[in-house]
Amino acid sequence: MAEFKFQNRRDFIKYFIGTSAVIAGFPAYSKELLSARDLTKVTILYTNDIHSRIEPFPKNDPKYANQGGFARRSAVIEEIRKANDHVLLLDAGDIFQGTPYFNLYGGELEYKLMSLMKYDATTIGNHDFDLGIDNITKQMEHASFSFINCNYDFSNTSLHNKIIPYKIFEKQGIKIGVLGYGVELAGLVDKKMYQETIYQNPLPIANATAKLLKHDLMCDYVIALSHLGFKDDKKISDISMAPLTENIDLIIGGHSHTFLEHPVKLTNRAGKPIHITQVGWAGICLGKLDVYFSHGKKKISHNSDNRKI
Amino acid sequence: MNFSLKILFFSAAISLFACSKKTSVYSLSDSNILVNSDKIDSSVYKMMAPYKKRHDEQMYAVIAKSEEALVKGDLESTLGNFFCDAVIYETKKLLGNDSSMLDVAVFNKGGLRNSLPKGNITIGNIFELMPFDNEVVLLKLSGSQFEDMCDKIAEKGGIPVGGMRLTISESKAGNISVKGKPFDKFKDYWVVTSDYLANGGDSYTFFKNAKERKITNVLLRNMIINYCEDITKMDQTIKPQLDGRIQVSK
Repeated sequence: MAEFKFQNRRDFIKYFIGTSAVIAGFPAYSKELLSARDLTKVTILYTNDIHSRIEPFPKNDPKYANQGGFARRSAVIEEIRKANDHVLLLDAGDIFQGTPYFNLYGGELEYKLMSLMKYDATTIGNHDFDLGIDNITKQMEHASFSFINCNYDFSNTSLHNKIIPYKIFEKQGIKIGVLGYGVELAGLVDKKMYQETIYQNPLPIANATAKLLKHDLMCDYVIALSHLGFKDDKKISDISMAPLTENIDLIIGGHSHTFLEHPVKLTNRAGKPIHITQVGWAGICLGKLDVYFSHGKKKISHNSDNRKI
Repeated sequence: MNFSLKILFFSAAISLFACSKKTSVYSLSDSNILVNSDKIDSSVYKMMAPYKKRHDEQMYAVIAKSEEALVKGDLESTLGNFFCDAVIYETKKLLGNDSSMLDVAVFNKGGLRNSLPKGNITIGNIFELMPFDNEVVLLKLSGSQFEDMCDKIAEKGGIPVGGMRLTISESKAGNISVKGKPFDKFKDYWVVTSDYLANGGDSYTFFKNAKERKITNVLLRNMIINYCEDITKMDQTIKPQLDGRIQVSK
């Protein structure tokens, strides 16, 4: 899928091409200020569409020369872990396919390295089926992170009971619920690869799962790992689905390889804000979003991009 | 207190607890990081090492040279043109005495997964261009099916094609020619493509009702590797070019 370009771009939606690093958004707080204001910071790190890019792009690559690579990403993540107590590391699918490492080893090295980097969870992308569903099952033996999806019915496949619809991560008493959903496979993936996997409309299932997480399981923040794509004229996408959701705070997207400089903010069907983010592909960029949670009674809401739960 | 009352009391206590919980999102701060620094995690390198060794032995063999980088683009592209022309060349070789039956090559932008650099082209580059294990398939389309396909090509704003030319005007195809001759609606045409697209992948519905289908059991990737080796044997290099095979009607 081609990189998406906005026709009417607003201030907070900027795309970067190639080399420009970006730092932006809201003020970061020191540790002293965090405790004075009774705030807890949870750092959400994320990737999407890694596409087996184990090594950086070669020096003669016309578009992304010498960018990306697992060893560098791991060093960046390690540094962030040292400076931050509460880190979540997530991925939005399409770990597989794109370099000969996948053709040679079937994804084994990708899963092993992501486990070494202490990824917490991923969702299933369409290209993860490229060597067949049984290959995912086989390679999962090398993964110590969770596989999250709520809209594929895997009952009649080897992935039955191996994919969970959601998972709750607790960071200093703060409960972060993570769910996942994927794109329609028919017309995109050969049936012999996904076999008896049944795709279901992600919207009602995601809303039901998010409601369960937010209300019954009392999560403070709900993240959706989405492999639908940022925008699509014909199919359901992050942009078209987000306003119809409820109880999801953040969509970490994939599939469309969209480089978003900043998360895009929309309003959900309950009038609450929802952010969509995506960081291109191939591990060129590591997404980082610091979420500050307040515990105190005095809730200061000016100059912040907050929502009450 | 009966049982249901106890439950009621219990759930009331839970909701009371939920209400007293003050945790809420105070603010967000985003700062994506471009992964291009010199710092590396040596434990990742250590785990990679045995995999990388075998990988490098196989992938760094140089099989051709390109005068310029080959990239994707709108309408036609240097990468799409190279790819389609290479597939036509190798398919004709495969068909031998029947080579004249082949008319055109049609692929999809999404299937070309990476650019090719200027200079040395390695087997690894071709793997990245065409990582999928797709096979070469030949389809016979009726004239009207071929015309539908051309309109879809126009609607998509151009896709990788070879052996044909057309112009796009308001999402409709015009001035269609095949192998240098004007398109004939009453003639059948043979198209070479991938099994993925022939099976309707990437919503290429126009291939589904093809009149005839020939499978080759040849991997598309191997075909491109063979092409690179063939032109190198003939002391040729890859010369990227745009030849106006798909243009916007003026």
